[in-house]
Amino acid sequence: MLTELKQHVARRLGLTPEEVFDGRPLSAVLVASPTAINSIDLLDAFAGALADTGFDDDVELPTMTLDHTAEDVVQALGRQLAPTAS
Amino acid sequence: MLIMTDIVGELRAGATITDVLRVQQSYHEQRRWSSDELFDGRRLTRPGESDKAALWHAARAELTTQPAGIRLAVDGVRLAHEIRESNPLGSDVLHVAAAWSARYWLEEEAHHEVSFGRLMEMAGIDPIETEEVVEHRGAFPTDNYARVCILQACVEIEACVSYQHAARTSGDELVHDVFHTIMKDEVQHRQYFAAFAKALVESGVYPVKDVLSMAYTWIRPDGGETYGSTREAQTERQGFVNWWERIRTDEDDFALGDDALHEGSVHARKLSSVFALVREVTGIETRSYEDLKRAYFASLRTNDVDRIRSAVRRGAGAAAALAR
Ligand SMILES: [Fe+2]
Ligand SMILES: [Fe+2]
Repeated sequence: MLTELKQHVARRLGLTPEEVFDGRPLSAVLVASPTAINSIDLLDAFAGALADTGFDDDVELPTMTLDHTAEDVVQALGRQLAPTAS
Repeated sequence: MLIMTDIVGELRAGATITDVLRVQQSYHEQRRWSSDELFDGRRLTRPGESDKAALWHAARAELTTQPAGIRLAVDGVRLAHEIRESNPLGSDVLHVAAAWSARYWLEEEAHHEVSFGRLMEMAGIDPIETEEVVEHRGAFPTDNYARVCILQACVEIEACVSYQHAARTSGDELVHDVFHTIMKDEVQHRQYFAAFAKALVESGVYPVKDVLSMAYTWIRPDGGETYGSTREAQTERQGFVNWWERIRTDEDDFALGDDALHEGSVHARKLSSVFALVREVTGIETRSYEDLKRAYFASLRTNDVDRIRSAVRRGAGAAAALAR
């Protein structure tokens, strides 16, 4: 399920999952993305991926700064989803 | 006379850029006031500590409208040229928004900057040092134009509500008059930014999601912009100042009290004003953060306003059923 989420995040940023989730900070993801300009585009990508996978009713997007990694965000989402995902 | 809120409707009915700008000019002239006249021969009688705190903040916040206005003027004209052939209607809207930002918005904000600066110094607070003035002029970053319009509308809402609070709670007549006069301008500015954002969506330059993402980002309880300097996580800004991230609280000199920021009626007014903004710009009714979040998420799947509306209703219905 998190794999699917990651694929949608990457697609929405115009990148591959490897590029988004290789441990670089979100600031570097922004630089690499051909479409995203700032943190709102990152928000769109994560929120959009939740909408794509149908989990958007169950979670709050964690606060993120550009120093966080995409993995940090997905892990935080995963923790919220864990109790309900079976 | 009123602000033209249906710009696309007017343009479609045959109005030209020039026609719209003449309406803006008349409205501007009709509403102009003079800071020299407002201050003429008057002195502060009873400036309180909360007046001083409000002035310290307002004088600084107003400095940052200039880079934002320059950005909107420059980027608006540039984007208008880029889409001139593919979307002439959207291009007209951008010309109208860029002209308003360059001419009327910046001119009116100059009155605010000067008036608050003068009053702050009359209250015995040190003038803002040149270095700090220069820092507040740092270039405003380029972003999606509809999002910037919504961001600015939200900033105007912050200003409206805070200035109204400052005017209402002050025991000094001049402090009251300055905050009240400027607050009335900020109400109009909010209306203009709402009209531009609505026109950009209606002319197909941007999807509805760009309006909703910005409004959501502004009010989200966990890390929203309206919580400014009290947020746990702050992003390092390079070369520009978001004044709401610099708000002084707690033990700082000139700190603003919670009642002036995120508590009670002040906070409730900010939120309801953002919901009203969303309704005016998109036609989507939201009454709570949860509604707005549902609308935003739905807008990432569809740009159809009816479908977004029904997602909001469905979500609210499901939540109500769960609560029963
Ligand atoms: Fe202002
Ligand atoms: Fe304003």
